[in-house]
Amino acid sequence: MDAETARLAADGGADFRRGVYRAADSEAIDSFDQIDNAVRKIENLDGPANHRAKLLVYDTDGPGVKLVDELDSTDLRTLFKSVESRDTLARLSRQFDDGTVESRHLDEITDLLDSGDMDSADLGRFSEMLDQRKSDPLIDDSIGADDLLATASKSDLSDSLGVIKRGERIHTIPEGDVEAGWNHIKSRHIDGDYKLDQKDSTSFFPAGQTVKGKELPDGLSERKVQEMVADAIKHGDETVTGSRIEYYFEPTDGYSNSGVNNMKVIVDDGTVKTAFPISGEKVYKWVPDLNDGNGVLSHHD
Amino acid sequence: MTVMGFCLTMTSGLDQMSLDISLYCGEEYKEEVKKGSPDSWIEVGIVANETVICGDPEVESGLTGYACGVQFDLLDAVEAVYSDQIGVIEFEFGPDWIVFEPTSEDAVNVAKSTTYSGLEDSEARLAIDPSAVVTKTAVRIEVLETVQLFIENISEIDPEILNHNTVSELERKLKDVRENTGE
Repeated sequence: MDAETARLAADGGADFRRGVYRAADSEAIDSFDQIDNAVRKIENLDGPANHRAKLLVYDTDGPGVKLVDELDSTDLRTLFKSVESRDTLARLSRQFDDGTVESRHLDEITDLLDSGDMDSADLGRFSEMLDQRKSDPLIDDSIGADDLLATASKSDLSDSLGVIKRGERIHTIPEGDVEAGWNHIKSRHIDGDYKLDQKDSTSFFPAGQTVKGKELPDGLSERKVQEMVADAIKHGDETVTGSRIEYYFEPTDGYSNSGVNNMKVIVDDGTVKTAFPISGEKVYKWVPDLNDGNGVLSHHD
Repeated sequence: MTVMGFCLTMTSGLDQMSLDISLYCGEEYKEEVKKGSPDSWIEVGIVANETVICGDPEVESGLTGYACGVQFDLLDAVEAVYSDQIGVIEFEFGPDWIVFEPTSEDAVNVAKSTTYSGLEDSEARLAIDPSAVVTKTAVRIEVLETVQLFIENISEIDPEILNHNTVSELERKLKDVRENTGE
Protein backbone atom coordinates (compact mmCIF):
# COMPACT_ATOMS: atom_id res chain seq x y z
CA MET A 1 0.00 0.00 0.00
CA ASP A 2 1.14 3.55 -0.62
CA ALA A 3 2.08 6.25 1.90
CA GLU A 4 -1.22 8.09 1.53
CA THR A 5 -3.12 4.89 2.35
CA ALA A 6 -0.94 4.33 5.38
CA ARG A 7 -1.63 7.90 6.56
CA LEU A 8 -5.40 7.59 6.02
CA ALA A 9 -5.43 4.25 7.78
CA ALA A 10 -3.58 5.74 10.75
CA ASP A 11 -5.94 8.75 10.81
CA GLY A 12 -8.93 6.42 10.79
CA GLY A 13 -8.19 5.11 14.25
CA ALA A 14 -6.33 2.15 15.71
CA ASP A 15 -9.00 -0.44 14.86
CA PHE A 16 -9.30 0.68 11.25
CA ARG A 17 -5.52 0.74 10.85
CA ARG A 18 -5.30 -2.78 12.29
CA GLY A 19 -7.99 -3.95 9.88
CA VAL A 20 -6.23 -2.42 6.88
CA TYR A 21 -2.90 -3.98 7.78
CA ARG A 22 -4.53 -7.36 8.39
CA ALA A 23 -6.24 -7.05 5.00
CA ALA A 24 -2.83 -6.77 3.38
CA ASP A 25 -2.14 -10.33 4.56
CA SER A 26 -5.59 -11.63 3.64
CA GLU A 27 -6.14 -14.13 0.85
CA ALA A 28 -9.19 -12.08 -0.18
CA ILE A 29 -6.92 -9.33 -1.45
CA ASP A 30 -5.05 -9.73 -4.75
CA SER A 31 -3.11 -6.45 -4.81
CA PHE A 32 -2.25 -3.41 -2.73
CA ASP A 33 -4.16 -1.31 -5.29
CA GLN A 34 -7.39 -2.80 -3.89
CA ILE A 35 -6.45 -1.60 -0.42
CA ASP A 36 -5.45 1.88 -1.69
CA ASN A 37 -8.76 2.23 -3.57
CA ALA A 38 -10.84 0.98 -0.66
CA VAL A 39 -9.22 3.24 1.92
CA ARG A 40 -9.66 6.33 -0.32
CA LYS A 41 -13.31 5.46 -0.96
CA ILE A 42 -13.97 5.07 2.76
CA GLU A 43 -12.29 8.41 3.41
CA ASN A 44 -14.80 10.02 1.03
CA LEU A 45 -17.80 8.68 2.94
CA ASP A 46 -19.47 10.95 5.49
CA GLY A 47 -20.65 10.43 9.05
CA PRO A 48 -22.21 7.06 9.95
CA ALA A 49 -21.42 5.55 6.52
CA ASN A 50 -17.73 6.28 7.05
CA HIS A 51 -17.84 4.80 10.56
CA ARG A 52 -19.67 1.64 9.40
CA ALA A 53 -17.24 1.07 6.53
CA LYS A 54 -14.27 1.34 8.91
CA LEU A 55 -15.89 -1.10 11.32
CA LEU A 56 -16.44 -3.51 8.43
CA VAL A 57 -12.74 -3.44 7.57
CA TYR A 58 -11.90 -4.02 11.24
CA ASP A 59 -14.47 -6.84 11.54
CA THR A 60 -13.56 -8.72 8.38
CA ASP A 61 -10.10 -7.62 7.24
CA GLY A 62 -9.71 -8.71 3.61
CA PRO A 63 -13.34 -9.46 2.62
CA GLY A 64 -14.50 -6.04 3.83
CA VAL A 65 -11.78 -4.28 1.84
CA LYS A 66 -12.62 -6.37 -1.22
CA LEU A 67 -16.33 -5.40 -0.96
CA VAL A 68 -15.54 -1.70 -0.61
CA ASP A 69 -13.12 -1.85 -3.56
CA GLU A 70 -15.78 -3.52 -5.72
CA LEU A 71 -18.53 -0.93 -5.26
CA ASP A 72 -18.53 2.45 -6.99
CA SER A 73 -18.87 5.54 -4.80
CA THR A 74 -22.62 5.86 -5.27
CA ASP A 75 -23.37 2.22 -4.46
CA LEU A 76 -20.95 2.32 -1.56
CA ARG A 77 -22.75 5.33 -0.08
CA THR A 78 -26.15 3.64 -0.58
CA LEU A 79 -25.00 0.45 1.14
CA PHE A 80 -23.36 2.03 4.16
CA LYS A 81 -26.07 4.67 4.62
CA SER A 82 -28.86 2.05 4.46
CA VAL A 83 -27.38 -0.80 6.48
CA GLU A 84 -26.53 -0.34 10.13
CA SER A 85 -25.92 -3.94 11.14
CA ARG A 86 -22.24 -4.90 11.48
CA ASP A 87 -23.22 -8.58 11.26
CA THR A 88 -25.08 -8.06 7.98
CA LEU A 89 -22.24 -6.13 6.37
CA ALA A 90 -19.65 -8.64 7.58
CA ARG A 91 -21.70 -11.61 6.32
CA LEU A 92 -22.29 -9.93 2.96
CA SER A 93 -18.60 -9.20 2.48
CA ARG A 94 -17.66 -12.81 3.32
CA GLN A 95 -20.31 -14.07 0.91
CA PHE A 96 -18.91 -11.78 -1.78
CA ASP A 97 -15.43 -13.08 -1.04
CA ASP A 98 -16.46 -16.74 -1.32
CA GLY A 99 -18.50 -16.13 -4.49
CA THR A 100 -21.96 -16.80 -3.00
CA VAL A 101 -22.76 -13.18 -3.81
CA GLU A 102 -21.40 -11.82 -7.09
CA SER A 103 -20.78 -8.30 -8.39
CA ARG A 104 -24.10 -8.24 -10.26
CA HIS A 105 -25.89 -9.18 -7.02
CA LEU A 106 -24.24 -6.24 -5.25
CA ASP A 107 -25.49 -3.96 -8.03
CA GLU A 108 -28.99 -5.33 -7.61
CA ILE A 109 -28.85 -5.02 -3.83
CA THR A 110 -27.85 -1.36 -3.97
CA ASP A 111 -30.56 -0.70 -6.57
CA LEU A 112 -33.17 -2.34 -4.31
CA LEU A 113 -31.90 -0.42 -1.27
CA ASP A 114 -31.99 2.80 -3.27
CA SER A 115 -35.55 2.22 -4.50
CA GLY A 116 -36.79 1.23 -1.04
CA ASP A 117 -37.81 -2.28 -2.16
CA MET A 118 -35.23 -3.63 0.29
CA ASP A 119 -34.21 -2.28 3.68
CA SER A 120 -31.50 -3.10 6.18
CA ALA A 121 -33.58 -5.86 7.81
CA ASP A 122 -34.31 -7.46 4.41
CA LEU A 123 -30.62 -7.49 3.53
CA GLY A 124 -29.87 -9.00 6.93
CA ARG A 125 -32.35 -11.82 6.28
CA PHE A 126 -30.99 -12.22 2.72
CA SER A 127 -27.45 -12.87 3.95
CA GLU A 128 -28.66 -14.95 6.90
CA MET A 129 -30.69 -17.20 4.59
CA LEU A 130 -27.74 -17.74 2.29
CA ASP A 131 -25.68 -18.83 5.30
CA GLN A 132 -28.41 -21.07 6.74
CA ARG A 133 -29.65 -22.79 3.58
CA LYS A 134 -27.69 -25.98 4.24
CA SER A 135 -28.81 -26.25 7.86
CA ASP A 136 -32.35 -24.79 8.04
CA PRO A 137 -35.08 -27.05 6.60
CA LEU A 138 -37.26 -23.99 5.96
CA ILE A 139 -34.69 -22.59 3.56
CA ASP A 140 -34.34 -24.61 0.41
CA ASP A 141 -30.72 -25.64 -0.08
CA SER A 142 -31.00 -24.90 -3.81
CA ILE A 143 -31.87 -21.26 -3.14
CA GLY A 144 -29.30 -18.78 -4.44
CA ALA A 145 -28.75 -15.03 -4.30
CA ASP A 146 -30.70 -14.58 -7.57
CA ASP A 147 -33.75 -16.31 -6.07
CA LEU A 148 -33.67 -14.28 -2.88
CA LEU A 149 -33.27 -10.99 -4.73
CA ALA A 150 -36.20 -11.86 -7.01
CA THR A 151 -38.23 -12.53 -3.85
CA ALA A 152 -37.02 -9.34 -2.15
CA SER A 153 -38.27 -7.24 -5.06
CA LYS A 154 -41.88 -8.31 -4.45
CA SER A 155 -42.14 -9.34 -0.81
CA ASP A 156 -40.71 -8.63 2.60
CA LEU A 157 -37.69 -10.90 3.15
CA SER A 158 -37.29 -9.81 6.77
CA ASP A 159 -40.81 -11.18 7.44
CA SER A 160 -39.98 -14.56 5.86
CA LEU A 161 -39.50 -17.64 8.02
CA GLY A 162 -38.59 -19.71 5.03
CA VAL A 163 -38.07 -19.80 1.29
CA ILE A 164 -38.85 -22.92 -0.71
CA LYS A 165 -38.11 -23.53 -4.35
CA ARG A 166 -40.12 -25.93 -6.48
CA GLY A 167 -39.08 -25.99 -10.12
CA GLU A 168 -38.70 -22.36 -11.07
CA ARG A 169 -41.23 -21.18 -8.49
CA ILE A 170 -40.06 -19.59 -5.27
CA HIS A 171 -42.42 -19.55 -2.27
CA THR A 172 -42.00 -17.74 1.02
CA ILE A 173 -43.49 -18.64 4.38
CA PRO A 174 -44.11 -15.21 5.93
CA GLU A 175 -44.63 -14.47 9.61
CA GLY A 176 -47.79 -12.73 8.34
CA ASP A 177 -50.78 -11.92 10.53
CA VAL A 178 -53.97 -13.59 11.74
CA GLU A 179 -55.41 -13.46 8.22
CA ALA A 180 -52.53 -15.07 6.33
CA GLY A 181 -49.12 -16.66 6.74
CA TRP A 182 -47.61 -18.45 9.74
CA ASN A 183 -49.45 -16.34 12.31
CA HIS A 184 -52.76 -17.34 10.69
CA ILE A 185 -51.79 -21.03 10.68
CA LYS A 186 -50.67 -20.83 14.31
CA SER A 187 -53.59 -18.81 15.65
CA ARG A 188 -56.26 -20.77 13.80
CA HIS A 189 -54.91 -24.31 13.45
CA ILE A 190 -52.65 -24.64 16.52
CA ASP A 191 -53.64 -22.19 19.27
CA GLY A 192 -57.30 -21.94 18.30
CA ASP A 193 -57.60 -18.31 19.33
CA TYR A 194 -58.82 -16.80 16.07
CA LYS A 195 -62.48 -16.74 15.04
CA LEU A 196 -63.55 -20.02 16.60
CA ASP A 197 -66.93 -18.38 17.23
CA GLN A 198 -67.82 -18.41 13.52
CA LYS A 199 -69.89 -20.97 11.59
CA ASP A 200 -66.73 -22.61 10.22
CA SER A 201 -65.20 -25.76 11.65
CA THR A 202 -61.49 -25.64 12.54
CA SER A 203 -59.00 -28.49 12.26
CA PHE A 204 -55.95 -28.61 14.54
CA PHE A 205 -52.40 -29.80 14.10
CA PRO A 206 -51.64 -32.12 17.04
CA ALA A 207 -49.17 -30.09 19.08
CA GLY A 208 -50.20 -31.06 22.62
CA GLN A 209 -51.96 -27.73 22.94
CA THR A 210 -55.10 -27.01 24.95
CA VAL A 211 -58.05 -25.63 23.00
CA LYS A 212 -61.50 -24.97 24.47
CA GLY A 213 -60.26 -26.59 27.69
CA LYS A 214 -59.33 -29.85 25.96
CA GLU A 215 -55.76 -31.11 25.66
CA LEU A 216 -55.07 -32.25 22.11
CA PRO A 217 -52.72 -35.12 21.17
CA ASP A 218 -49.02 -34.46 20.98
CA GLY A 219 -47.39 -35.19 17.67
CA LEU A 220 -45.77 -32.10 16.27
CA SER A 221 -43.85 -29.12 17.57
CA GLU A 222 -44.61 -25.75 15.98
CA ARG A 223 -41.27 -25.98 14.22
CA LYS A 224 -42.23 -29.39 12.82
CA VAL A 225 -45.49 -27.93 11.49
CA GLN A 226 -43.45 -25.27 9.69
CA GLU A 227 -41.23 -27.97 8.22
CA MET A 228 -44.33 -29.90 7.14
CA VAL A 229 -45.58 -26.81 5.31
CA ALA A 230 -42.22 -26.51 3.55
CA ASP A 231 -42.26 -30.22 2.63
CA ALA A 232 -45.83 -29.94 1.35
CA ILE A 233 -44.69 -27.25 -1.07
CA LYS A 234 -41.63 -29.23 -2.06
CA HIS A 235 -43.24 -32.66 -2.46
CA GLY A 236 -47.05 -32.32 -2.35
CA ASP A 237 -49.52 -32.74 -5.22
CA GLU A 238 -49.66 -29.37 -6.91
CA THR A 239 -52.58 -27.61 -8.64
CA VAL A 240 -51.86 -24.24 -10.23
CA THR A 241 -54.62 -21.80 -11.24
CA GLY A 242 -53.26 -18.38 -12.12
CA SER A 243 -51.15 -17.17 -9.21
CA ARG A 244 -52.98 -19.49 -6.82
CA ILE A 245 -51.40 -22.86 -5.99
CA GLU A 246 -52.81 -25.65 -3.85
CA TYR A 247 -50.62 -28.40 -2.37
CA TYR A 248 -52.06 -31.60 -0.90
CA PHE A 249 -49.50 -33.54 1.10
CA GLU A 250 -49.46 -36.87 2.93
CA PRO A 251 -46.66 -36.54 5.49
CA THR A 252 -44.82 -39.83 5.85
CA ASP A 253 -41.02 -39.55 5.73
CA GLY A 254 -39.85 -37.78 8.85
CA TYR A 255 -43.36 -37.50 10.30
CA SER A 256 -44.04 -41.09 11.38
CA ASN A 257 -45.71 -40.18 14.68
CA SER A 258 -47.34 -36.96 13.58
CA GLY A 259 -50.87 -38.40 13.46
CA VAL A 260 -51.56 -36.31 10.34
CA ASN A 261 -52.48 -38.29 7.22
CA ASN A 262 -53.30 -35.46 4.88
CA MET A 263 -52.85 -31.70 4.83
CA LYS A 264 -53.21 -28.75 2.48
CA VAL A 265 -51.20 -25.59 1.84
CA ILE A 266 -52.46 -22.59 -0.14
CA VAL A 267 -49.98 -20.26 -1.82
CA ASP A 268 -50.92 -17.05 -3.62
CA ASP A 269 -48.47 -15.01 -5.62
CA GLY A 270 -45.53 -16.90 -4.10
CA THR A 271 -46.62 -16.44 -0.48
CA VAL A 272 -48.05 -19.08 1.86
CA LYS A 273 -51.56 -17.99 2.92
CA THR A 274 -52.73 -20.92 5.01
CA ALA A 275 -52.07 -24.56 5.83
CA PHE A 276 -54.25 -26.97 7.74
CA PRO A 277 -54.53 -30.66 8.55
CA ILE A 278 -57.34 -32.53 6.80
CA SER A 279 -57.33 -35.98 8.36
CA GLY A 280 -55.36 -38.27 10.65
CA GLU A 281 -55.73 -40.13 13.93
CA LYS A 282 -54.45 -37.16 15.95
CA VAL A 283 -56.28 -34.45 13.98
CA TYR A 284 -59.09 -32.94 16.06
CA LYS A 285 -61.70 -30.55 14.82
CA TRP A 286 -63.79 -27.86 16.46
CA VAL A 287 -67.35 -28.14 15.09
CA PRO A 288 -69.43 -25.18 16.29
CA ASP A 289 -72.79 -26.60 15.13
CA LEU A 290 -72.57 -29.67 17.39
CA ASN A 291 -73.95 -29.79 20.94
CA ASP A 292 -76.95 -27.58 20.08
CA GLY A 293 -74.70 -24.92 18.65
CA ASN A 294 -72.31 -24.82 21.62
CA GLY A 295 -69.63 -26.68 19.71
CA VAL A 296 -67.60 -29.83 20.29
CA LEU A 297 -63.89 -30.44 19.85
CA SER A 298 -63.35 -34.05 18.86
CA HIS A 299 -61.70 -36.39 16.39
CA HIS A 300 -63.41 -36.81 13.01
CA ASP A 301 -61.99 -38.67 10.05
CA MET B 1 -67.13 -10.30 8.39
CA THR B 2 -69.04 -7.09 7.86
CA VAL B 3 -71.51 -7.62 5.08
CA MET B 4 -70.81 -4.65 2.92
CA GLY B 5 -68.94 -4.35 -0.33
CA PHE B 6 -71.14 -6.58 -2.40
CA CYS B 7 -73.42 -9.51 -1.81
CA LEU B 8 -74.37 -11.82 -4.67
CA THR B 9 -77.43 -13.98 -4.29
CA MET B 10 -78.56 -15.94 -7.32
CA THR B 11 -81.45 -18.33 -7.60
CA SER B 12 -81.66 -20.89 -10.35
CA GLY B 13 -83.70 -23.96 -10.99
CA LEU B 14 -87.15 -25.29 -11.48
CA ASP B 15 -89.82 -25.03 -8.81
CA GLN B 16 -88.67 -26.87 -5.69
CA MET B 17 -85.39 -27.96 -7.24
CA SER B 18 -83.73 -24.56 -7.05
CA LEU B 19 -80.24 -23.67 -5.86
CA ASP B 20 -79.15 -20.35 -4.32
CA ILE B 21 -75.51 -19.42 -3.89
CA SER B 22 -74.74 -16.22 -1.98
CA LEU B 23 -71.29 -14.66 -1.87
CA TYR B 24 -70.80 -12.30 1.06
CA CYS B 25 -67.85 -10.11 0.19
CA GLY B 26 -67.18 -7.59 2.95
CA GLU B 27 -65.39 -4.26 3.01
CA GLU B 28 -62.10 -5.98 3.87
CA TYR B 29 -62.37 -8.09 0.75
CA LYS B 30 -63.18 -5.02 -1.33
CA GLU B 31 -60.05 -3.31 0.00
CA GLU B 32 -57.96 -6.35 -0.95
CA VAL B 33 -59.34 -6.21 -4.51
CA LYS B 34 -58.39 -2.53 -4.68
CA LYS B 35 -54.86 -3.58 -3.69
CA GLY B 36 -54.81 -6.07 -6.54
CA SER B 37 -55.54 -9.25 -4.54
CA PRO B 38 -58.78 -10.94 -5.67
CA ASP B 39 -58.33 -14.17 -3.68
CA SER B 40 -58.80 -13.26 -0.02
CA TRP B 41 -61.47 -14.53 2.40
CA ILE B 42 -65.19 -14.26 1.65
CA GLU B 43 -68.21 -16.07 3.08
CA VAL B 44 -70.52 -18.29 1.07
CA GLY B 45 -74.08 -19.36 1.82
CA ILE B 46 -75.86 -22.12 -0.10
CA VAL B 47 -79.57 -22.97 -0.06
CA ALA B 48 -80.70 -26.04 -2.00
CA ASN B 49 -84.36 -26.80 -2.55
CA GLU B 50 -85.23 -24.45 0.35
CA THR B 51 -82.83 -26.29 2.70
CA VAL B 52 -80.02 -24.21 4.12
CA ILE B 53 -76.89 -26.23 3.33
CA CYS B 54 -74.47 -23.70 4.78
CA GLY B 55 -74.60 -20.18 6.15
CA ASP B 56 -77.46 -18.10 7.40
CA PRO B 57 -79.34 -16.04 4.78
CA GLU B 58 -81.01 -13.90 7.45
CA VAL B 59 -77.76 -12.52 8.79
CA GLU B 60 -75.91 -12.92 5.49
CA SER B 61 -73.13 -15.17 6.76
CA GLY B 62 -71.66 -18.40 5.47
CA LEU B 63 -68.68 -20.68 5.34
CA THR B 64 -65.36 -18.95 4.78
CA GLY B 65 -63.16 -19.66 1.81
CA TYR B 66 -60.84 -17.94 -0.61
CA ALA B 67 -62.91 -15.96 -3.13
CA CYS B 68 -61.29 -17.27 -6.32
CA GLY B 69 -60.68 -20.73 -4.88
CA VAL B 70 -64.41 -21.12 -4.25
CA GLN B 71 -65.25 -20.02 -7.83
CA PHE B 72 -62.82 -22.55 -9.30
CA ASP B 73 -64.24 -25.30 -7.07
CA LEU B 74 -67.80 -24.38 -8.13
CA LEU B 75 -66.86 -24.59 -11.82
CA ASP B 76 -65.02 -27.88 -11.22
CA ALA B 77 -68.15 -29.18 -9.48
CA VAL B 78 -70.31 -28.41 -12.54
CA GLU B 79 -67.85 -30.27 -14.76
CA ALA B 80 -67.84 -33.15 -12.28
CA VAL B 81 -71.60 -33.59 -12.03
CA TYR B 82 -71.92 -33.40 -15.82
CA SER B 83 -69.47 -36.31 -15.93
CA ASP B 84 -71.44 -38.18 -13.23
CA GLN B 85 -68.63 -37.54 -10.74
CA ILE B 86 -68.69 -35.99 -7.27
CA GLY B 87 -67.79 -32.29 -7.08
CA VAL B 88 -66.41 -30.73 -3.88
CA ILE B 89 -66.14 -27.13 -2.68
CA GLU B 90 -63.40 -26.85 -0.06
CA PHE B 91 -63.70 -24.00 2.44
CA GLU B 92 -60.14 -23.45 3.57
CA PHE B 93 -60.80 -21.49 6.74
CA GLY B 94 -61.94 -24.77 8.35
CA PRO B 95 -61.87 -26.96 6.39
CA ASP B 96 -65.52 -27.64 5.67
CA TRP B 97 -66.84 -29.08 2.45
CA ILE B 98 -69.91 -28.89 0.24
CA VAL B 99 -70.42 -31.99 -1.89
CA PHE B 100 -72.32 -32.15 -5.19
CA GLU B 101 -73.12 -35.79 -5.90
CA PRO B 102 -75.23 -36.92 -8.88
CA THR B 103 -78.04 -39.23 -7.81
CA SER B 104 -79.72 -39.75 -11.18
CA GLU B 105 -79.47 -38.46 -14.71
CA ASP B 106 -80.74 -34.98 -13.81
CA ALA B 107 -80.59 -34.90 -10.01
CA VAL B 108 -77.75 -33.79 -7.76
CA ASN B 109 -77.59 -34.14 -3.99
CA VAL B 110 -76.02 -31.04 -2.42
CA ALA B 111 -74.65 -31.80 1.05
CA LYS B 112 -72.45 -30.23 3.66
CA SER B 113 -69.72 -32.51 4.97
CA THR B 114 -67.93 -31.68 8.19
CA THR B 115 -65.86 -34.86 7.89
CA TYR B 116 -63.24 -35.67 5.26
CA SER B 117 -64.47 -39.24 4.90
CA GLY B 118 -67.93 -37.84 4.20
CA LEU B 119 -66.74 -36.49 0.85
CA GLU B 120 -67.13 -39.91 -0.69
CA ASP B 121 -69.25 -41.70 1.89
CA SER B 122 -72.53 -40.04 2.81
CA GLU B 123 -72.85 -42.40 5.81
CA ALA B 124 -69.71 -40.83 7.28
CA ARG B 125 -71.25 -37.36 7.44
CA LEU B 126 -72.53 -35.94 10.72
CA ALA B 127 -76.22 -35.70 11.62
CA ILE B 128 -75.88 -31.90 11.57
CA ASP B 129 -74.76 -31.93 7.92
CA PRO B 130 -77.79 -30.93 5.83
CA SER B 131 -78.46 -32.03 2.27
CA ALA B 132 -81.06 -31.57 -0.46
CA VAL B 133 -81.58 -32.64 -4.05
CA VAL B 134 -81.65 -30.15 -6.92
CA THR B 135 -81.57 -30.51 -10.69
CA LYS B 136 -78.27 -30.75 -12.53
CA THR B 137 -79.44 -27.87 -14.70
CA ALA B 138 -80.02 -25.72 -11.62
CA VAL B 139 -76.45 -26.36 -10.48
CA ARG B 140 -75.06 -25.37 -13.87
CA ILE B 141 -77.16 -22.21 -14.27
CA GLU B 142 -76.57 -21.06 -10.69
CA VAL B 143 -72.82 -21.63 -10.71
CA LEU B 144 -72.24 -20.01 -14.11
CA GLU B 145 -74.27 -16.93 -13.13
CA THR B 146 -72.58 -16.69 -9.72
CA VAL B 147 -69.07 -16.82 -11.19
CA GLN B 148 -70.01 -14.40 -13.98
CA LEU B 149 -71.44 -11.92 -11.48
CA PHE B 150 -68.43 -12.34 -9.19
CA ILE B 151 -66.08 -11.35 -12.01
CA GLU B 152 -68.29 -8.40 -12.98
CA ASN B 153 -68.46 -7.16 -9.38
CA ILE B 154 -64.74 -7.30 -8.69
CA SER B 155 -64.05 -5.59 -12.03
CA GLU B 156 -66.39 -2.78 -10.94
CA ILE B 157 -64.28 -2.38 -7.79
CA ASP B 158 -61.10 -2.26 -9.87
CA PRO B 159 -61.16 -2.80 -13.67
CA GLU B 160 -57.43 -3.64 -13.55
CA ILE B 161 -58.24 -6.80 -11.59
CA LEU B 162 -59.25 -8.43 -14.89
CA ASN B 163 -55.53 -8.44 -15.77
CA HIS B 164 -54.68 -10.47 -12.66
CA ASN B 165 -53.65 -13.91 -13.86
CA THR B 166 -55.93 -15.75 -11.43
CA VAL B 167 -58.95 -13.76 -12.65
CA SER B 168 -57.91 -14.29 -16.30
CA GLU B 169 -57.71 -18.00 -15.57
CA LEU B 170 -61.13 -17.87 -13.92
CA GLU B 171 -62.66 -16.18 -16.97
CA ARG B 172 -61.11 -18.82 -19.22
CA LYS B 173 -62.39 -21.61 -16.99
CA LEU B 174 -65.89 -20.09 -16.92
CA LYS B 175 -65.95 -20.00 -20.72
CA ASP B 176 -64.74 -23.61 -20.96
CA VAL B 177 -67.30 -24.92 -18.49
CA ARG B 178 -70.09 -22.97 -20.19
CA GLU B 179 -69.14 -24.52 -23.54
CA ASN B 180 -68.37 -28.01 -22.30
CA THR B 181 -71.58 -28.42 -20.32
CA GLY B 182 -73.93 -26.59 -22.73
CA GLU B 183 -77.30 -28.24 -22.95
